[in-house]
Amino acid sequence: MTVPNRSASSTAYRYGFQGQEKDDEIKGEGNSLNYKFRMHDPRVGRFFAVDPLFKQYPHYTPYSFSGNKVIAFVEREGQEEKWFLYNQLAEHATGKKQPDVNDISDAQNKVIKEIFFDPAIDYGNKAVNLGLGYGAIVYNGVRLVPSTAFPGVFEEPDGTGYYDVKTLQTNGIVPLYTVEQELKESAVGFATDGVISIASGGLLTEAGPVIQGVAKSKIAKQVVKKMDDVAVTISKSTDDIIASASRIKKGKTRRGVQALDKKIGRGDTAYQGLKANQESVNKVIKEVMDSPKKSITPTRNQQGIEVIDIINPDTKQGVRLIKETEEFDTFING
Amino acid sequence: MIHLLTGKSMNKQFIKDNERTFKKIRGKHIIKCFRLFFESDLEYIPENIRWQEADGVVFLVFSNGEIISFYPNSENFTVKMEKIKKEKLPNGLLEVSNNQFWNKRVNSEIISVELIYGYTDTPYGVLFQFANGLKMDLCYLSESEYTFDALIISNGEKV
Repeated sequence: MTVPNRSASSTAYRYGFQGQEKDDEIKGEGNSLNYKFRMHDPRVGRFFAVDPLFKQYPHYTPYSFSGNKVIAFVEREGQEEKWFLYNQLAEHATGKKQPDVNDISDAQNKVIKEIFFDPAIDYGNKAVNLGLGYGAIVYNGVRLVPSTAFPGVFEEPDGTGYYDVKTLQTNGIVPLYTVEQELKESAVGFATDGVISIASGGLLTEAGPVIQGVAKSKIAKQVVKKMDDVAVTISKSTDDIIASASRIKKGKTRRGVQALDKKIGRGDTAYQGLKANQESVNKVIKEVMDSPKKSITPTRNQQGIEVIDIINPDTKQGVRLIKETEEFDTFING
Repeated sequence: MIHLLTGKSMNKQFIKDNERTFKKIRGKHIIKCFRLFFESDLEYIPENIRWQEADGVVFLVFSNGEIISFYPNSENFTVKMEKIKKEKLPNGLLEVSNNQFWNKRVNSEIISVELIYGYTDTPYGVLFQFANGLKMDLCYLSESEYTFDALIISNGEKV
């Protein structure tokens, strides 16, 4: 909304907020925008008619603007919200200046397919539990957030996270059981913008133009920075980590052996058949640390201590290190 | 429709699920407590508090017939709570309802049950308050006095 007597504009330029055409004859200058299907009053931020697509959005008020998400989304023609990041993505994928809704959908599917299917790209994609109850997909060791990586696939009706297997099947993608289970069981997501984290995985030269397109967006740069901030490298050698697992915890029991004994005692399937001795401890740690597909995820425990979870997706076994010292903490499930 | 999930919004579901369970047991009382211990830690725990502080699973039988298991979950730094049927109770359980800690809490009305939060959005424990003024907490701790990574039961005073 413009402040009366404190604004100026040229009548030759007819477009206002979100590039929509102004209709100054109705309520004065800049107070009515034509969103094609509905008129919008920016003074109150409301439409003056119900959403023509209201039947598709029973969870919204029929007067909502931009799906009530005014930062990441824009309003598409008074009908529904549009995530502008995917608009950019579609521009790169199609080369069109103004991609339509189908282009956006195609681009989105292409990203999903590249991640899951393209045989030329085998990044050891997998689903893991990230700790803190977050369900996510790890893409070449970089965590991807289902909800943001695949909008439309992972949705949240009424505050409840769920995993739409049908959408994946429609796109010809085999659902990852563990992701589905994770989301059903933990029902917890992660707030960072996952898809762009591909960029920080160093895949830009290998991945397709769609992903490169995403990486060029403003949001991508912010998220890459965010990912760089939390990026973790492990400087200790596997031998050092094994040595730290053989430190005495209590009495004669060594830390690694006690941790393995707990996992076996708890009946965790990834550790079934193992014996709680130093030899098994060394073997598990070595396999996890040497796995080319291992995922490395920094997290924080409930006491505020920073830890690093390293998972071997082949064996579902994992090692948790104390971030500060890089000493062995415990074994975890993948 | 596109929605961004946040840790907090998805935690709502976790909390909602537990709240549903808690609703059912408020106003009821515990009638029995069983424990399943992870043997490796037992020897380190002083005998007088062994049945509370030794790592393992807790099974509480409530007066409405529900049985809930409390299980330490290292991966998520939390206590996993699950309803369980009587016939699914594992073998090798030790009934501890009559020991010094539990006999004061068994058969006393539960006036409140709430989740306990630490540095993360995911709760790491549960706090019970009983009509006789006593409390009890079941918490997952990454580091405890005796060991690392254990489900510890105490009288709720440290929470």
